[in-house]
Amino acid sequence: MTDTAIPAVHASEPNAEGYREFTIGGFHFRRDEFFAHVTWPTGTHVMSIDGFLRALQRDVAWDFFYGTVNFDGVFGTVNHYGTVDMFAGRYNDSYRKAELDHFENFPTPEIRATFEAMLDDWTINGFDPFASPAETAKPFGVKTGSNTAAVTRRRVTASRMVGVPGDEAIRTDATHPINRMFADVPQDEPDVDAEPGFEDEVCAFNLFAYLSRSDVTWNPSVVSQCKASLYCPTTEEYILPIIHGNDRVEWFVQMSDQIIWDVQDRDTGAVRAKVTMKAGDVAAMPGDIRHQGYSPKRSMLLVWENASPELPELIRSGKTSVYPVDF
Amino acid sequence: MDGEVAVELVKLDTALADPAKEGSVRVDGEPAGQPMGRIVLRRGHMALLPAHSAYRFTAERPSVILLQTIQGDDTIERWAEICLS
Repeated sequence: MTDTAIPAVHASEPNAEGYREFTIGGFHFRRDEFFAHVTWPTGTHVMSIDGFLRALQRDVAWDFFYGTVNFDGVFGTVNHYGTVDMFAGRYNDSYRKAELDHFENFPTPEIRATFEAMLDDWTINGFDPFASPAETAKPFGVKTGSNTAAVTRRRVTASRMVGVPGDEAIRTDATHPINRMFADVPQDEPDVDAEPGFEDEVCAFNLFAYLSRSDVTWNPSVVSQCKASLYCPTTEEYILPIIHGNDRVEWFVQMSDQIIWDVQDRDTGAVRAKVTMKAGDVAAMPGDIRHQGYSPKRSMLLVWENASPELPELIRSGKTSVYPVDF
Repeated sequence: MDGEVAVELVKLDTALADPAKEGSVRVDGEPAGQPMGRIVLRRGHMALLPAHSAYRFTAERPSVILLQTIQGDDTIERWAEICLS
């Protein structure tokens, strides 16, 4: 294996299937026509390349998100907001008991560069890891082109609110056609009557229409910020490609259709609950669980995040509860 | 979230709270200041409530809004009564 010229990324020449192999610390990554193979000093793991790339896409786009991003029950990352743990079997009882688990901590730029390069190299022409499986080509086969535009989509992060002058733009037919499953969503806009001089402050938009035009799934976008309070609505279809492990409470508001959530203990994976949310339902995911959702139809979900940077330490130290409500 | 709600906004002549104070504060009577505008929201619509301005909601029939704000004087925590446990 030889290192390429890409800074801080250790990648091989293309293998027999045309894909580069990547090494970071003691972890090694290889893909073939159907699978991603991960090895570490004490074990090996294999995942469908479909699920692996969908999880990798979220980890990259969300910059390792809040807490734990489990690609499945074995492999994943934990965000320490400046550094990131990469783990295998760390939060899996069987691996722990067999002492096959392993984790390493990396500076965020180093693991980010490796993941970005791997995602770009392993995503072939026509496959979009953010898209519903019903709306993209398959990821399988030997290396055929790439889809850099799809895997480097800019994430929506409004600093005030979508539609406010200078902030994230409203979606239109020209950029975001209405999704096939949201053809019945009204596209009317609010009535806005701003006095002269207040056009930048008197602002409103149709959130449901905005979401009906989303071209991605399971990708919370920040549409409004109130200090550390982030409204991160998202459109969901099929399965959340990661199992998200919380390091803080997360609120869900189901705005349309239905999602079924599997909720497990964050650290062991022991089953905690199954939550079926229908339109209008509200749920709080505690700060010590992991969850994965199933959306039979494309649905609208409001994920309400508290981005306060001190929260993980407050919870770790016991100063803040992992539950949002005391009964 | 449902129904129809009008939002009236006023730029306050004088701040009614310390700029560092979090959450909303109740305004007694009519707020003194310049009208900023009016917004009418229906199902699925979303509006900005500018900081350090006064707002008032009116609805001619029962309607539902979801308010994104910060914990403050007006906060009433009732999830323990509302939630399934």
